[in-house]
Amino acid sequence: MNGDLKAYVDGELPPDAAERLRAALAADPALAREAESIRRLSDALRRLPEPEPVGQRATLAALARPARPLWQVWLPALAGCTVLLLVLAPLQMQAKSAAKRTRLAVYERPASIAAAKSARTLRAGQDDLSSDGRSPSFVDATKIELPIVPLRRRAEAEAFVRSVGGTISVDKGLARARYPQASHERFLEKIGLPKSLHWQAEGVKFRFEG
Amino acid sequence: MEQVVRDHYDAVYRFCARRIGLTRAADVAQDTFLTAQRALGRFRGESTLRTWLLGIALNECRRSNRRHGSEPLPLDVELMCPLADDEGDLVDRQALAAALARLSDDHRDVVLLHELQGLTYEEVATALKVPVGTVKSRLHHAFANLRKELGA
Repeated sequence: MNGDLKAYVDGELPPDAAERLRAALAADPALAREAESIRRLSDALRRLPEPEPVGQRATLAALARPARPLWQVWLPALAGCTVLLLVLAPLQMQAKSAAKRTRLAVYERPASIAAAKSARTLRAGQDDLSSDGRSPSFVDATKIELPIVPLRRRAEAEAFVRSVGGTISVDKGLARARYPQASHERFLEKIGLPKSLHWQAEGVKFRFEG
Repeated sequence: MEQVVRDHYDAVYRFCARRIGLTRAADVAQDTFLTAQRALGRFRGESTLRTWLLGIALNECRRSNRRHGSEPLPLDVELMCPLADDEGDLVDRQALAAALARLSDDHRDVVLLHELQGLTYEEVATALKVPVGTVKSRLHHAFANLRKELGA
């Protein structure tokens, strides 16, 4: 009978059971109040703000690609997608998932041709950088083509990003900062990233090391 | 398949976001459609396409949780949409979102599918592969728990 009240409010009771319950509600104010409370809760749930969907383009792109081996399908292909990575709690990493995430970084693809170009440009411009260890250098090309920022600048980077209303998440040294495009140049300057690094997918990616 | 994505991506994403959190929602939404693409030949129209997709989404969410561990779910403060309070909104939204996040998986699934996605009991039963009576009972208990948490 109790489950019936919720089903009645949802219009899911068969007609004769619904009729019986309607009569019971008319006769019992307490029961009627309970039905009303259920209805209000239902309404409130339906009115909860919904998250803004992201990633539809990336999904369409993924569907259009030829079938790939299963292990590639399972990597989060966030190319071109503007998902906000919030680190809500310290992640408990086991060796297996640590290895998986390294593979992730290694096989991550540039979001666009522009990014690929920019990555190649960065490597080409390596002779422009000083070798005093204070400027960003580049990872072994066999690994990933992300610029490196010294770890001691992490606090600064995080503070700056937050001050412009952005977010930054760091996972095993792989950093994703997301902030308004207008702040891009200042951010690069602030933590010593090369000016040629493009703002894309709402921010930049790089590695903290050292 | 492209049209399927255009018609159903938003709903699948929103379900995933509420089910496993914002961090992995887009990944799992994409996995859902990739899986659906491979399985489309087997879909015989026994349910609506939306119901079928949400069933796949639920499996992908569970799979993702097994791989990555469950995360705390987003409270509304972290959602990107502004809150505009209705007059006479008797239920505190923050408290409601928090209570929803604290439900057991079984209870949260039926609430998400029926209340937020608008599926009928029959459709929820199909998506979850359980009898309708189970859906009815779980919804009843889920609401009892929510009301207890909210003091409503």
